[in-house]
Amino acid sequence: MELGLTLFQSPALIKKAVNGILRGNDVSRLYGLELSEQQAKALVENRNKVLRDTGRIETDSSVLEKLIYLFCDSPYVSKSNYEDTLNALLELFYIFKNETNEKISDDELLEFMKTSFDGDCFGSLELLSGRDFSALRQKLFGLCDTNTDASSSDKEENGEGDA
Amino acid sequence: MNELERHSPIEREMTDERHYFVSLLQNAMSFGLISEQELERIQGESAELLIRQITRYTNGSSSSVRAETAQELSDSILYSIGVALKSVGIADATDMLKSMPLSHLFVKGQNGIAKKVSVCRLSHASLVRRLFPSENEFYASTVRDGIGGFFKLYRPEFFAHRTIITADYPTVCGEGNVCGIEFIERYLHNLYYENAFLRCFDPNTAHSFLLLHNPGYEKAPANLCEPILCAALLCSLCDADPSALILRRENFDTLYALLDGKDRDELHFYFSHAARKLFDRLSCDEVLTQYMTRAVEMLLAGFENAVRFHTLEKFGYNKSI
Repeated sequence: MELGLTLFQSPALIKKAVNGILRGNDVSRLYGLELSEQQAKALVENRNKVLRDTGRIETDSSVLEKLIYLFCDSPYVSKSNYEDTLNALLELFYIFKNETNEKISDDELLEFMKTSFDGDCFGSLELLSGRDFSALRQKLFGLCDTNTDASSSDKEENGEGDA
Repeated sequence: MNELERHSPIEREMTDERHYFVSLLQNAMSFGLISEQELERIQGESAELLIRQITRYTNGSSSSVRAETAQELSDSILYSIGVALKSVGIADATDMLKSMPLSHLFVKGQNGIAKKVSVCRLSHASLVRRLFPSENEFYASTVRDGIGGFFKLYRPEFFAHRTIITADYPTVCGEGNVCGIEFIERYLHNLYYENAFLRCFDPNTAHSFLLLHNPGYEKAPANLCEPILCAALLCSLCDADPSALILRRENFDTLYALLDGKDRDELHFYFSHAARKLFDRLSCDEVLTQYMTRAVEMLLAGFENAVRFHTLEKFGYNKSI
């Protein structure tokens, strides 16, 4: 009998996520970008895979939708790389979400990614994931470019720190 | 089941105390008391509740959490609903599952947990005030600091199922397969009565006896009540003074003469009779007598073996007197 977590993979929720992405086309079309239903489904599947890989559970598809709204006007995103860029940004988002131990909200992290991507990264995902994320990590934890302490991360996540 | 409880084909023993909600639901499904449609509604509502709790946990700033955190939040929801369902009989609990939205059951469970926390805090404070003075390191530290620490760290709104305590000090009757505040509730209940029983004895007498019984008892995470109860029970059985906790050679001779060759039922009769006499003599009230009688029942198998193998002396032979 399924109760709780497994229900997050239900077909109804996947369909809802696909519809959310397709609604984003209304805005992205203004910048010549559009995702087909097939691409939207693939994005949701990839999101689910990334969530599994990063060990996270998401309650809705708001991050994916916000990525579309935020990045569709980027000068470094075009028809040819739109889907791939969204997939890569999504992966970076969840990896960094884990690394920051929830010290940064979804909106703050997305805003940081957009500013860096369009700014001193000049659309380079490598610079964003390497140099700029290191700088943010340092700002948040006051650490050099090393992995954060795993034990404190566990403690935080297990609810012993402030939510 | 009390007399007013409605009949249900599901017996309490069929359910899992630790995972009460899910086990009740599974049983209700197998007896056809809950339909597939009702199950679907419950599943959908459980996912909605989890989403709500994740949002509350992150203060709405994150739409995702680590899977371990989500699992714990989910366990906490199921636990809270279990507390609500346990507050009524099984037939009524099944009806509640069918008719009440899960969110209502969750709130009801959270309220029940909050009440339990308040009551446990009071009984903890009362226990600490009346704590039996003992040289055992684990007794006072577990009761004062261990349980006190639980109240500081317990976050029932998100992690109601967590038992954040290292309960080093064991009780005679045990707490069963429960967690969260239900564990603390039972632990305090057991400690309360065992402490009350210990207070029937002079602390110095108890200390001398426990040293004789186990020279390392001060540093051992061992129960204090059990050896004292056993010795007092044997004293009662051979008409020695139970409050002195002294068993000499002649007392054991009397005990073997009385108990040798007796079958299980006869032994149980003798020990039960001696227990009643003991609790009367120590002026134990009705509820303390009830708890200690249950403790004696748990020790009967040990007495039975000790009689059979002539090892009653292990319960406290005082060679020096």
